[in-house]
Amino acid sequence: MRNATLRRLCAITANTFTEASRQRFFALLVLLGMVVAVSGAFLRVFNFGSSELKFTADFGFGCVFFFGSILAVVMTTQLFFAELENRTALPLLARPVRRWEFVAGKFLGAWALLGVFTALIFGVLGALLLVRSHELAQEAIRAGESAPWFSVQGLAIFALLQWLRLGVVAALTLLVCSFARSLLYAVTVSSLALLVCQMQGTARAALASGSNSWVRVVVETAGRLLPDLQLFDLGVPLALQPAGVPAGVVASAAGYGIFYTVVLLALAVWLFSDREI
Amino acid sequence: MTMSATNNGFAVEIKNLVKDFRVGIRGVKLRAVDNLTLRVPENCIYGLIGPNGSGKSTTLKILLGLTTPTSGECSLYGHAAGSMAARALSGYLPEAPYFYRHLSGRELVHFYARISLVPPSEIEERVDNVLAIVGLAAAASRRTGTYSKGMLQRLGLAQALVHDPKLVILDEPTAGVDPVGSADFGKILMEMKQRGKTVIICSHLLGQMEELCDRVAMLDKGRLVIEGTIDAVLSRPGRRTLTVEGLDDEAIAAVEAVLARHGARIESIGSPRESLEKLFLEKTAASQPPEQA
Amino acid sequence: MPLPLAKKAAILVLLLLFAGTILSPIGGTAERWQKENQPAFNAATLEDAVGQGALLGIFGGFRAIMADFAWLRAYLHWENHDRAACETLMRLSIALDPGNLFFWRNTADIIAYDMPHWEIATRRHGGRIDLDPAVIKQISQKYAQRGLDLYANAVRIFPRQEGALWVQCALICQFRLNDPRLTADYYRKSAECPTPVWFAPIAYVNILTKELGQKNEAAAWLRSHIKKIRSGQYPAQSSAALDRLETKLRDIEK
Repeated sequence: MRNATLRRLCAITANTFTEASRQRFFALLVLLGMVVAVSGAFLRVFNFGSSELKFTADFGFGCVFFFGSILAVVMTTQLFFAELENRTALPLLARPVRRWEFVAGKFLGAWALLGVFTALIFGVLGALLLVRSHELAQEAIRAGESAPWFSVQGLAIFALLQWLRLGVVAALTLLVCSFARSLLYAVTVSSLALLVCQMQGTARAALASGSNSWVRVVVETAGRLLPDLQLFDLGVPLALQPAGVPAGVVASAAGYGIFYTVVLLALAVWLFSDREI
Repeated sequence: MTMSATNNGFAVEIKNLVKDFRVGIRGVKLRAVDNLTLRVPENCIYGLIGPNGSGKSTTLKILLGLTTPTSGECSLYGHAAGSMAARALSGYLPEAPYFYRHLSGRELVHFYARISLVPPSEIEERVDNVLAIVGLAAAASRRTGTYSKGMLQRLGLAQALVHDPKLVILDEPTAGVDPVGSADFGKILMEMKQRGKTVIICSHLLGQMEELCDRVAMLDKGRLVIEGTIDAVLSRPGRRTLTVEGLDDEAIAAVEAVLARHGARIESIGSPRESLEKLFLEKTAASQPPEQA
Repeated sequence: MPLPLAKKAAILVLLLLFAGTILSPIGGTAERWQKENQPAFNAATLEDAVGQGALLGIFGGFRAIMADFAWLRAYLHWENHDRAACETLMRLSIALDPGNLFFWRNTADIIAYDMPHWEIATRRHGGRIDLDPAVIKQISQKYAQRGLDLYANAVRIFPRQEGALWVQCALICQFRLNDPRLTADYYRKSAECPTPVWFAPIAYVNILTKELGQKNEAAAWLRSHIKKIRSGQYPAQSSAALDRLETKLRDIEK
C-alpha cells in the first residue's frame, strides 16, 4: 500500500512539475530574477557606505525572495486552483487518489519548481559574488587592507534556507487554496498572509517593547497565527561574515520551516478533505 | 449477466439518497437529490436522463466520492461509494472534459494509468490499446491543447478505460460530437458491454440513449420519475406497430374490417422514414477519418 | 457531514495558534540569535522604523538599495530644509540598513547641526521676528539631544566604533550645547571604552583643567588612567599615546 501511495504521489508531483515548468510565467520570472540579481552589481554607484559585496548580495537576496514569493503564491495557486476551476481535478479525484496525496503531490511539484528557481538565481548570484570577491581581494592585497569575506558554503546554506522559506509560502498558499472559492481571492489572501509573515517578527519586536501588557499579549498571540519568515534572513551573516552563523541557529530555522510546512499542509488536507468538487 | 458474490448482481446500489446544497449568504437549502433509490445491474448500459438540474451529475459525483451525500447509502460492487476500493473499480468521463494542455494525448493517458496503479510493465501496451480503441492513435503525440472537442471526448473516454474498470461512468459523452463520432462512441460502448463491463451514461441525446441503453432512469427535481428497461418504459400497453409493404387503399379497408371484428381499430396510417442520423452516417462515414471527429 | 463554515474557521484559527505555540521554541534559537547579532531585528532600530517602516523587512533583501534611495530622497528634502521629511527618510535609511554607520553618523549630525538653524530661520520668518535667546537655546538643545540619542543607539550597534562615536557626541555638546561638563563626560566615555580615540584622554583632561578649572580631578583621573593602560586594560593604546599622557600629567602636576 505504501508503494501504491508513493507511485501516486510521484505521478502527481511529476505532472505538476511538468505543467509548471512548461509555463512561460516561470521562464519569465527566472529571467527577470537573474537580470535583476546581476544588475545589483551595476547599481553600486547608489551605494552609501555598504561594502560592495554586501550591497550586491543584499540585492540578489531580495530578488530571490521577491520573485520567488510571486512564483510561490501565483504558481501554486494556479497549479492547485486551476485544477478545480477547469475541473481537471474531477477525473483525478474520481480515481483511487486520496485527498492528501493530491495536496501533497501539488505541493511537492510546486516546491521542486521553486527549488529549480532558487538554484538558478543563487547560481548566478554566487558566481557574480565569487568573481567580484576575488577581484576585491586582489585590490585589498595591493592596498595593504584586509580582503572582504565571502563564503560559497554559506551562500549554499542560505540558498537551502530560502528554498525552505519558499516552501512555507507555498504550503501557506495551498492552505488558502483549500478553502478559497476563486483564484483571485486565493492569490490576494495568500499575498496578504505572506506580507504578515514577513513583517510580523518586526512588528512583534517593535510593539512589544514599551507597550502595555495587553498590547503585548495581543501582538504575541497574533504572531503565533502565522509563521515568522524573518527567521530565514540569515544571508549576510552566512555568506559575508567570517563569524558565520552557528549550526544550531541554521538547524533552528530549517526545523521551523520544515515543521511549519508539514503543519500547514496537514491543515490544507483537512480543509480539502470534505470540499465538494 | 454475471453475478458478484458481494453485491447480488448489481454494480451500483443507491438507497434513499439525499443531497442538499447550501446556497447564498443565508445558506438556503437546495435539495439536488431527493430520496433517490435505484439499482444498476451488472453488465448493462444504464442511462440516466432528466432535465437540467434534475440531480444526475450530483448523483454521479456522489457515486465517485467527489461529493458527500447528506444522507442515504451508495455502493459500487458492494463497496461504499467514494471508498478507495470503489474508485479503483470505476472509470469516469466528466461532462465537457478539460485536460492538461501541456501534455500530449499519450502522456495524459499514461499519467492517468500511473495514478490508477496500472502495473508499470503494462502501461505502454494499455495506453496504446485504449488510444487505438478511441481512434486517437495518430494524434496521440500532439498536445491536448490542440485537440478538437470531439478528440477531447475520445481522450476522456481513453483515460476512463485505461485501467480496465468494471464500471464506466460517462457524463454527456457525446455532447458536441458529430453523428459519426457519436456512432463510434456507441460502438465502443457496445464492445465494453460485451466485455462484461457496466456502463452508466448521463445524456440529453435521447435518441442515442434509446438505441444504446438496456435500462434507463429518469430524474426530475432530484426524484426518480420512472425506471426500467427501454422496452418497458417506452412501450404503450395495448398497442402494436406493424410495418407493411404493398398496402393499397382497398387492402387498408379490408384490414380495418378485420380489426373491427376483433375490437381494434387503426389509429393512424403513415410511411416509416429513415432517421436523419442514419442518412448522415451513410453519406458521410466513408470520408471521415476517426481522429478528425 | 461537513462542519459548518463558522465552526471550521474557528477550529482552523485555534489549530494555527496551537501550531504556532508549539513550533515557536523550534525557531526560538534562530530568533534570539538574530535579535542579538543582526541590528535590523532589534528594538533599537525598530522603534524608529515602525513609525515609518512601511517596507522594513518586507522583501527579505533589497534593504541596501532601498536605504540608499531613501537617503537620496532625504537629500532632496535637505535641500529644501524640510525637517520632518528629511529626518523621516534618514531614519528610514537607518532602519532599512542599520549596519551602515554612514547613515547613523550623518543623520545624527544633520539633526544636531543643521536642523536647529532651519527651525530658527522658520520661526524668524526671514528675519522679521527676533527670537529670545532662551528659545534659540531650547531649540538647539532639543535637536542636539536627538542627535546624542541616535549616537547612543549607534554605540549599541557598532561597539567597535564606540570611541569615535562618543567623540562625535562630545563635539555636539561642545558646539551646539556649549556645555563643557557634558563635553568632558563624553570624552571620558571615549577614553574609557575598549576602543578609545587616541586624543580623547587629552581632550578630557584639557577641558577639566582649562574650562572647568578642575586640575586635581584631571590629575587624579590621568594617574588612574595611565595605571590602567600600563596594566594592559587598554591594549589599543600605543606607547606613544602613553608617553603623551605621562607628559600631560607632568604638566598638570607642575
